Amino acid sequence: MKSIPIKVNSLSFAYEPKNPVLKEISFELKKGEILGVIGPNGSGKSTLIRLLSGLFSGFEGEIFIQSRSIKAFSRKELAKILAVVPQQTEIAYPFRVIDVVLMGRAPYLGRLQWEGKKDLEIAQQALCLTETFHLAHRRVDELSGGERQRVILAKALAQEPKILLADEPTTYLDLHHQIRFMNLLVNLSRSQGLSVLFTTHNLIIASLFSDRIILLDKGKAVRIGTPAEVLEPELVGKVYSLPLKLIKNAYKNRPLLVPELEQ
Amino acid sequence: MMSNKKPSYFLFGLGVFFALWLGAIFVFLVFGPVRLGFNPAEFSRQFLRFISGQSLSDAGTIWFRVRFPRALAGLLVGGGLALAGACFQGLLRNPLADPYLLGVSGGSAFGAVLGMVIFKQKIPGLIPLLAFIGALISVGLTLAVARIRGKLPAITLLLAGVVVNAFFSALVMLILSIFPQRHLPDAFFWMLGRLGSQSYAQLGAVLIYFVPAMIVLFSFWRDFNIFALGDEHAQQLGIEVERTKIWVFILASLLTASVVSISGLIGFVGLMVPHIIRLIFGPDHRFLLPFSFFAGGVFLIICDLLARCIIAPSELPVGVLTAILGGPFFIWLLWQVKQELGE
Repeated sequence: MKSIPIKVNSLSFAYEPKNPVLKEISFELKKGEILGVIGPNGSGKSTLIRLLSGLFSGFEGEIFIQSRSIKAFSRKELAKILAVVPQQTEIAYPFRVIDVVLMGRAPYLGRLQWEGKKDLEIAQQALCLTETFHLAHRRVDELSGGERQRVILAKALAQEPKILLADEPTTYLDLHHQIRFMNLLVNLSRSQGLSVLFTTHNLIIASLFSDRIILLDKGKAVRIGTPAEVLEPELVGKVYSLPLKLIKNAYKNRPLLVPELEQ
Repeated sequence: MMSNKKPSYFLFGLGVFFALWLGAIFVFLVFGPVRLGFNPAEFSRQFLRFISGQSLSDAGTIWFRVRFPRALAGLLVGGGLALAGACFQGLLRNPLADPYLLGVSGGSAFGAVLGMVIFKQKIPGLIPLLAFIGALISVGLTLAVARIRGKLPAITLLLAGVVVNAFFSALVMLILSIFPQRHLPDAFFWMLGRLGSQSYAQLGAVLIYFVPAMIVLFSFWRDFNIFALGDEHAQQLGIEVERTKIWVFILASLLTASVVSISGLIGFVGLMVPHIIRLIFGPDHRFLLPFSFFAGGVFLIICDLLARCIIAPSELPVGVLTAILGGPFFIWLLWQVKQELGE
């Protein structure tokens, strides 16, 4: 039986009791799929990513990673299957790019074991895939935001994951780097069979790059489906409390929603 | 690519630092306020007599009963403080962390002095242990005070550390004033940190705690590197962050306590040495931790040599010298951090 990368059954979670952040969410992430998660601030997008990456165990419902309950994984085991790209990564000391990417090999290495030839090859491949090979010996604190985000993606790929979670990965990037980063994710899912779940505030990015979209509203998944199925102006407009206008025929089956302004 | 991450580079670096270590011991033995001259034949003859336990000449006594234990104490204390500093800096993702500034040294000194009053140094191995308990209390206090919504901002961390340090230092002064007994260290020298009164037995007692703590801390090098990415990111990379942090706090406090129990409060070594090593060799902790240990020892015995010579025949507590160097260094470092935050 082919195992599903992520399967979530009626997942609920609260940081403080009586104040649930996620309510009874159920969905699947399929192999090689790109699943976009949209929703207003506080709708639970980041919490979902944190739960799926195994940071908290005090949730209700079930999370299965490759058909195995997430609670049955050790952190190291999980890090070999699932990698995370956060919104922004502050790196405390001036490490070089190659050192950061090699940190992705940590789950595979023993406490005293040094990175070997194979680890270096995997890191170099990750640098190539993310178009950062030329930066290998630069200090991470000297990179631009777009470059740094691709380096963090390379670090994630060095984990040789089957699943990639990205929490608003393009928030701090300019338009060029937003599109470049998302194109990388699409290429990785198509060429490596990587399953990607990402969150975003950008409805256009969500529409252009997702195979399917989850729309979250106050912790509930109000709709899950293809961009054409989810991005209806009335539905999304209600969730964001903002009148939205649909631009048709910009891309086939990729509806673009823009705010409707009063004249 | 990545040529500097080869074990051969690491071993070469270790070799160089070990040579520096031996060189510093040698310089420390030969130079000092008492001019002995240096006769290699006499030096080696006295060395052989010393290790076989025979009686020594006057020069031999100075070399091997006065200066040598002092040099070893310097290597241990300087190395321990520098390594503990590097560990705290890695753990807290903050280059301003240091056992002295975090209040760990103050708590250790309190535990040690209290132990000396109660037990009168009858059980030498016990004093470092009491210092360790003091260290854990103080570091726990500092972190509890500094923590804001699960985070440890540099500003509250430093403020809390300074206050905790001042508090425990005051307690040490209080004890030393109430019990001015002969077996207790002189308060002035104790508060500023000094080398020179340590016996081989005391050094041996310290090693029992020092060596295991050091070895385990070295083994955490990769965890320290990954901590630079932040706690959540480190967890998502397979590190058991909370458990690792607790171990590092305990072991780095033990290391600090064991050396403070014989030297008193020497500040800023743990701040300066790791920073300089990081500037030269980069932030990778597989190099930073062992190299800081060696460099800290060399740094402190050179400082001690100067402290003994500057106002000879009297001598300065070595902590005076490290603080004179460390104060401006700290301000410079703070300036740098401020610049980065301002960007």
